Amino acid sequence: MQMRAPNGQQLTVDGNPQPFIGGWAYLIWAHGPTGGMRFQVTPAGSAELVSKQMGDWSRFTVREAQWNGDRIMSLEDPESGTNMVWVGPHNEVATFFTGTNVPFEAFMDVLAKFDIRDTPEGLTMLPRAGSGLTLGNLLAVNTIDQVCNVQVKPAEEASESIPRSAGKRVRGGSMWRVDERDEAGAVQTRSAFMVNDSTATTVVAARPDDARFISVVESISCRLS
Amino acid sequence: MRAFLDSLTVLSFLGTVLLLFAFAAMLNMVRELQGKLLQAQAAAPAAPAVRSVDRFGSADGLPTFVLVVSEHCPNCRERAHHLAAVAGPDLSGHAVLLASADRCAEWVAAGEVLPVIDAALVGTVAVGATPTLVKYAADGTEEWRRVVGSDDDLDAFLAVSPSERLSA
Repeated sequence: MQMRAPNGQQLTVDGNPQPFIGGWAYLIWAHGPTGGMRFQVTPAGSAELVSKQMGDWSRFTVREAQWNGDRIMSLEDPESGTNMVWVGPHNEVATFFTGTNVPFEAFMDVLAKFDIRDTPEGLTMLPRAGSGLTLGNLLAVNTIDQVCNVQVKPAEEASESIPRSAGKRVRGGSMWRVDERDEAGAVQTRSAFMVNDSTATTVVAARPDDARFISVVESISCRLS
Repeated sequence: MRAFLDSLTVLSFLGTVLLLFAFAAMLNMVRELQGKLLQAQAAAPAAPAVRSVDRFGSADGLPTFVLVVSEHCPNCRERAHHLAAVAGPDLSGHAVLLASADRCAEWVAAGEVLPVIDAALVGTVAVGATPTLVKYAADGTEEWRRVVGSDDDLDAFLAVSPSERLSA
């Protein structure tokens, strides 16, 4: 399965025995002279769907407008702040502003700094020349229903989290198993951390003793190019 | 034969010199253009163009609120309906709906909103997102513009109080 990450890289994920629950969600930061800003890139409609399922929707003050034929939405939580969402034909881009009564213009000014291309293969948002922005800290997330959660990041951004001990050799890289135990010694969360030359992947099991989790860990392969 | 080859060498040398001149001239032009671009970029934020539309001026001294909408935009339709509901004697100003498609005029058919269907004017006003509310002073100069995301925002921008809205 090949996808286009927001920074233009190609993400290839193979070998998962069960399909993923849906499209990939990405977190990416844009760093500039005035600090960093986090963006979530998800399949179109996700923000609305997820907040309705989580029961947050009724709390929001919802605003909506149209910008160049696409929807822009403002989901304002009076207690925490405002999520602004640009909804394209295939994917959407969301970011968070602190405070309430944030004008749409603030979000449009941010979006105008990027060249956004939305295709079925994925959305890319590359900083325009002169914006002074660079993209970094990419994280791609997806879920295999009831089995595990898969998080992929570029290998060069994970160099600090690689354990010193030698990992088990797997498919062109190394793998470490990480168990978090409670006071009684029972496994609370079980995860596997895999590093190859292009990605660092964390697979978190939904249930620690699930055999399907082991088979995902033993076969999945993630690459960024 | 020798003389012919010599003349050819001289000619090609001359050609190279001419090319060098042309290249230098082109470099100069590029530098001038770059300089002008930098000047233009520096000047742009310092002197924002005052936008003015004579048509939205009024003789009675009241401001004009112009809601700019686009045809295939459900929010524009809702905002237009709401504008039609609140426009009237309670509103301290004139209400105008600006669009490029005739169909949009039907959205305010019942109220006291003046529909202006003028694609060229929509282009001149040049809003980024729709629906956008633009406020013009009595002399037709633009005071501000804001994207209107909800009926409550429209009320706030028009400074209509919720109690007036209930009676409307």
